[in-house]
Amino acid sequence: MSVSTPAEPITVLTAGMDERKLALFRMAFRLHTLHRYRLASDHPATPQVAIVDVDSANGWQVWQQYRQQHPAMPALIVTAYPSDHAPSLQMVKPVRMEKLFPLLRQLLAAPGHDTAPAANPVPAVPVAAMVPAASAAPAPLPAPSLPPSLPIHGDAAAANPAPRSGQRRTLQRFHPAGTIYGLLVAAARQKQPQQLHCEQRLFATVDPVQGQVALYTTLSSVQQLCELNGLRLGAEAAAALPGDEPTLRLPLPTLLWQVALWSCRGRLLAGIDPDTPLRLRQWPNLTRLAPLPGALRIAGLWSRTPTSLRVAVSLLKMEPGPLCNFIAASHALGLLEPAGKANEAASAATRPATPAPAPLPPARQSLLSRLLGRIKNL
Amino acid sequence: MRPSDNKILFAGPVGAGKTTAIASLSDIPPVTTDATASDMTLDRKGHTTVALDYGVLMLDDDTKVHLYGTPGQERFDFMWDILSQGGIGLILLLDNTRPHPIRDLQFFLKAFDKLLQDAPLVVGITKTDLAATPTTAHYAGILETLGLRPPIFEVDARNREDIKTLVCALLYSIDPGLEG
Repeated sequence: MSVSTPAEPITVLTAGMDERKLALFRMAFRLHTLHRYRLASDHPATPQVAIVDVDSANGWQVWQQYRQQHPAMPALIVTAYPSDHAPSLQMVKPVRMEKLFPLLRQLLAAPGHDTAPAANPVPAVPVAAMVPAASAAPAPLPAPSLPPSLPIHGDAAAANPAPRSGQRRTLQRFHPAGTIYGLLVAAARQKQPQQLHCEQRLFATVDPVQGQVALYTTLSSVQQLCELNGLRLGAEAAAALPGDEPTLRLPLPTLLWQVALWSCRGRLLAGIDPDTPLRLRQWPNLTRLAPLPGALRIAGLWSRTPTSLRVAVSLLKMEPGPLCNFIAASHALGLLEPAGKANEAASAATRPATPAPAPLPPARQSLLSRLLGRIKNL
Repeated sequence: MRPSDNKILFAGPVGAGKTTAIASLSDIPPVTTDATASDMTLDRKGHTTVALDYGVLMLDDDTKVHLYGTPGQERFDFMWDILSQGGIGLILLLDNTRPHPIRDLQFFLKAFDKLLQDAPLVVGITKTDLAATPTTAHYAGILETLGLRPPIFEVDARNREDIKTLVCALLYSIDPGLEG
């Protein structure tokens, strides 16, 4: 099979992907400028290469079915749990742009890498889904009590098998480098307006002084970009207004908060330890930000009492996911700080923000709980 | 617990939205003692609360939470002291279109200093669509110098969800673990 010239689009067959994952690849292909890639589901042309996701509910059966139908087509296996006996090139999730396209080119250049199905390509373990979408609810913890530790593993897939029902959950890490989140947060920390580029296209103009951002794409596209890593991103001081009319103008905190929720998706921001006490310098302006379940309670806790993520999970009886989302979003707004020694010394110079938290009398707590319920039901 | 402790106080300058906010929550039509304003207040509103507003949230047949809106004019500040006794907390509404909203904040913090030593504070900034500054960050900076880190939200007093958020924030300030 010959490699298409850059002028000819390369049609990619996919297997084991739902519509959301297809949208991610569709976006990645649209941003890639060296070669034109397109999904076979969008074009009737004969596909030249395939991407097979083996982390769906059917697992490696998807690969076996694909191979039976296409015994000679080169294919890239995408998985969070790479196997030593995989029958073809593997790409470990999360999908990174800088790795995806070189691997596809490698497959197209040397299609003979995989021609025969492996007899037993994978260990017999349950498979796990990709990082859940921002809108998906996290699976409930098997027990209400806090586990003795919250093990973390990085974006690189662990060699451990996927967690079965009843097993302790682990926290995924969210690394902002090479993401829209990281780009925006860095721009927000500058002292002058910045023009931001994504895949060599003008993405946004950020004015940290005025607290405003002008987007040159739709929010829907931004959401899709938030699910990609390894984007080619750039920022430069905005010497003059761009000639293009922006698609949308909005307050910078609003975009930062929303991008954080779309990007983090329940993962713990890199650099935050689950045992480091955290504190809010200021409540987020929650009436004007995208809704986040439990945000008021989380803010109520972290505004008054330096508390680690681990302890917060126990005190609030919440899933770690929303707390991690809150951490990423508050960090983006510059509101969250670790309650280290330096911060404690500075805080000691001022009057305590609130009285020391003491247990409420039962009657009082009952009244307040009932009032809370009443308000929520208005 | 004394029934007088079951109250939430709404304070703030004239025209900030106290009466409207209470109306959005109250189970009964709020009792307002509006009168035609006779002084410069007329420039801001055609009528104003002379004494105070009253609304109520019924938790059950025997339990009420009283909602008091303090008069916004300084000549009724003696009422503020009376109303300050006890209470679940203080919701301070500030009108961002006023000439000196930061001074308003400082004034009301001083006026209710005794109450705020034992009860939480929530700040609602109204009319930010008409006047974007001071921002919530600006207000937060002022409050932090006073050792306070209350919730500070942009609100529309006519928007029930915004006012509900203020009250929920007040309650979670007391106990983030509250279940309702």
